[in-house]
Amino acid sequence: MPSVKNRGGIGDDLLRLEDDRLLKGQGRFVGDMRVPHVLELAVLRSLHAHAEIVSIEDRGASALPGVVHVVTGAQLQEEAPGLFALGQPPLVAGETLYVGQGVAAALAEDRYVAEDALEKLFVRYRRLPVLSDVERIVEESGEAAVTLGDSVIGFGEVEPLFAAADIVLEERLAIGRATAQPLEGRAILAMPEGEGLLVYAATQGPHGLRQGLAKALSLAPELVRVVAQDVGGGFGVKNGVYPDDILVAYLALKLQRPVRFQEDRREHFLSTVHSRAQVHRIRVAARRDGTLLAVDDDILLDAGAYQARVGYGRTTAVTIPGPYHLSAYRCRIRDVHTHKVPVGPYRGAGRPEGNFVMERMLDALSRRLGIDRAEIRRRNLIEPHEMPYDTRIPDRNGNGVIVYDSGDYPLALETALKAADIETWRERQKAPLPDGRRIGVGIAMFTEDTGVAPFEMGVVDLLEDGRIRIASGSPAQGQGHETTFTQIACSALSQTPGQIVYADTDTALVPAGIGTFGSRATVMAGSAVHLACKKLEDMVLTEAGAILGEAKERLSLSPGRVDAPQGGLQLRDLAASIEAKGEHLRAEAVFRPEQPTYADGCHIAMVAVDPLTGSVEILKYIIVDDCGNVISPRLVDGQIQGGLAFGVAAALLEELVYDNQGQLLTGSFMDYPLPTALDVPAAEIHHLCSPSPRNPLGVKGVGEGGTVPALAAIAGAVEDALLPIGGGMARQLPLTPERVVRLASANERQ
Amino acid sequence: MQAEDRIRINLTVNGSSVSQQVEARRTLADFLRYDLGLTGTHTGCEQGACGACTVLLDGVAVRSCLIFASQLDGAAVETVEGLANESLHPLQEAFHRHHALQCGYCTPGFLMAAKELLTVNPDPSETEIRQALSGQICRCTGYENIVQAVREAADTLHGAKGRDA
Repeated sequence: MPSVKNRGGIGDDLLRLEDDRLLKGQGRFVGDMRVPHVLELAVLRSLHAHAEIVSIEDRGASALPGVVHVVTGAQLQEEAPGLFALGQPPLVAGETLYVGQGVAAALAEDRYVAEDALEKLFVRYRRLPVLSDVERIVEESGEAAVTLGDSVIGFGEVEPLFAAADIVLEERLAIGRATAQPLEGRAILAMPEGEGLLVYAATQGPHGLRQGLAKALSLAPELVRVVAQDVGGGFGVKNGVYPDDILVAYLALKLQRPVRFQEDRREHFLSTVHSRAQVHRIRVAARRDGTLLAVDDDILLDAGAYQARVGYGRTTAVTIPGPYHLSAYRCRIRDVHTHKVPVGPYRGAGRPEGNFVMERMLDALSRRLGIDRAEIRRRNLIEPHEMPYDTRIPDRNGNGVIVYDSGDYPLALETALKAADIETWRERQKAPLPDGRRIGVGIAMFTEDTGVAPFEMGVVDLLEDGRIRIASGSPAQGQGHETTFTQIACSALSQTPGQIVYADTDTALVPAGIGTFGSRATVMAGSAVHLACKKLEDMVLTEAGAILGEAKERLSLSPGRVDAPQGGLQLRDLAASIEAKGEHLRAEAVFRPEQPTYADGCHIAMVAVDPLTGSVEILKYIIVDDCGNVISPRLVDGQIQGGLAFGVAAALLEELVYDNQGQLLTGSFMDYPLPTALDVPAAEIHHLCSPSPRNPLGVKGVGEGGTVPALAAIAGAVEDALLPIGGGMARQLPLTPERVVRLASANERQ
Repeated sequence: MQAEDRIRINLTVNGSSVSQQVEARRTLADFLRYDLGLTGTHTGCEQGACGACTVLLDGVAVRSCLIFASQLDGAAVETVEGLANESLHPLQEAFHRHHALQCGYCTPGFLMAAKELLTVNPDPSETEIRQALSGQICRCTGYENIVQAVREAADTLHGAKGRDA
């Protein structure tokens, strides 16, 4: 059994505080809520990727017993044109732009009946030409190709370095379109309250959802209250405002009844944002000794039908240089418009793709120059004495440059190599296994911007019973914020977990917030909670000082108490006396750092590859991770191991395949394979600790570090296994069995 | 839907007798969640592929999204709500101790599938656990802690007769 300490402060190995209700089946997910007279929404979704809606006939839908309301896009536009003013419309009125876009909706007290109604709507489409393949689009249209974004970032002059370099490598590398698939789909419940709405949503960003709904409905933001309770996974896609969210909120207001939408799995495939979907043309210039000089990349991102809410292509671009010295860098990113589901961030949000191409090019350089994969990285790493390191890369907002805060990249590499016992594996891989499989070793290093801007807020209250309630703008979707933030509060206020009450993120309690994504919650909201706790401590000691007749400097907190040189005071007595005065102690704090923190690490994968069947087994997986100070050790390891599953999936399994008419061919779990217990190895996790100087806790984010380098490490290992038998370079993910078999027999000449 | 289109079923759910009229097309998952208010059983795909909705039907793990409630006259159904009594079931306890859940949405399905496994095979190896749970999808944990939790629960449930001790 694992040993457990239950003191509860920062760094203690606390068991999770949120588990009990989830283990007993008493979770409070949106779909679990019992709401009298709630209407369930069902959405009719376009069958065609690009088509004009000629007409929608109601052939008995509205007349079905139990159906309360039916609305088409055209009707909605006529009655509420304001809903159509922003980005993607709640329902299509004219042209559908992807398969799965909503064209009509029905409401009934029973979802079965609402879906019955959709079957009685007859839609006449006129099909239009479909844009599907980004490379073909750019090949045919060149600079005239329709893009939803086109930008160039970099520093220095790349061309002179390419002209003078000993070695120039150029490759086409691609990462398939993927989808997050949290097991709970999107879910939202809107209930009329006064002139506004009370909204329960499976969301990563309640405040952004409030803003979006208020804007769409022309309501004052304070009339929309959004609460995030238990959320069944997010991974980046449950953020922002979806068309269905606007529809739910609008219909709840219009009908003055609670309305709920629960996305089913098919809808998740067809209407929740996709991700990755990048093709890179990347060039690297280097010296003969392996020193990197310059990188020049041209990214085509299959952006889908609408502008991404968050353009993660730029995140890819700023991730590419990673932990390595470069003299010049240039990267162009084009978000190419296609008739597919729009894209958005998904576990890593562009970083895994950037890491993949850079690490693959280092492996290519290693092969070309005959320099070991570890050695070629060693020769280019930024050294700890260079910290803080000015990368010269413009930051994502274009306001400044990226400066790495801390880290020891060479130590991360050497620690991983030692843990992997790499020499033994090099020996083992000289001969095939008895069953004919070949062993390969892959190495990938990473840096990751974590704790992204702009701010987060913590709100801390002394409750009437003397306990302390903590809240922030960053809700959890499984990360365990109740536990982690409680530990932060315990340390800040010298309390034990039983003294702390964790509140769900609720826009009525926390005035402003951003949300949980980009490995930011502990860095941003954790720091905000810490700062608010410190403010509350000062307020509590001041009040206690007045009662005890002591200077507050002579007082201190202990669990449930204010201690004084002589005697002291129970927190509950203090709270009661404050409440008796008709007052209440609440502290709010905003944490707004200048720059993100930069986590780093190294992954090493050892795999066995069957060249005949293309199957890949991960035999051993080493992770060295530096996320600065660790608040909740087992939760951090849980994030890393969970993150690895997404890396395994991107490297070997998951790909959304569309045909040239924009029809999704892999629209269920039967043909879009998610990793199972048989696919994900147990990572051997090692920690380094370079505290960040950019927040009061010294923490860096850890939500995505398990994913980011795993694509490159696994792909590198598969390629390494096949090299002795004439295998080629692993250029395209995922490495499905078919692609691995082709790779094994590529017979590439170097 | 008229009353005559409904079918009366008598069954036990977590040991309690239930007698209800259900629509022929109502899935067991929706019957449990919406008719009985047992919302611990979650649906993840409603296509029988993810295992989130796993319950025990006469002791056998089934996908409650693929079974109609109307088929269940005389059946005994066990759901996650029936696992704990005064204290947590050893599987629930082990999941807690090993941090084997994150968002918790898939957890009820895993618990029920693991319960069946430990009934059929009280002393499973790690490989057997991974195989037995390979029909259950968890997006958060990366599975390792779930496997360790099930292994520990096997020891707790069946004494210290672990295979290699």
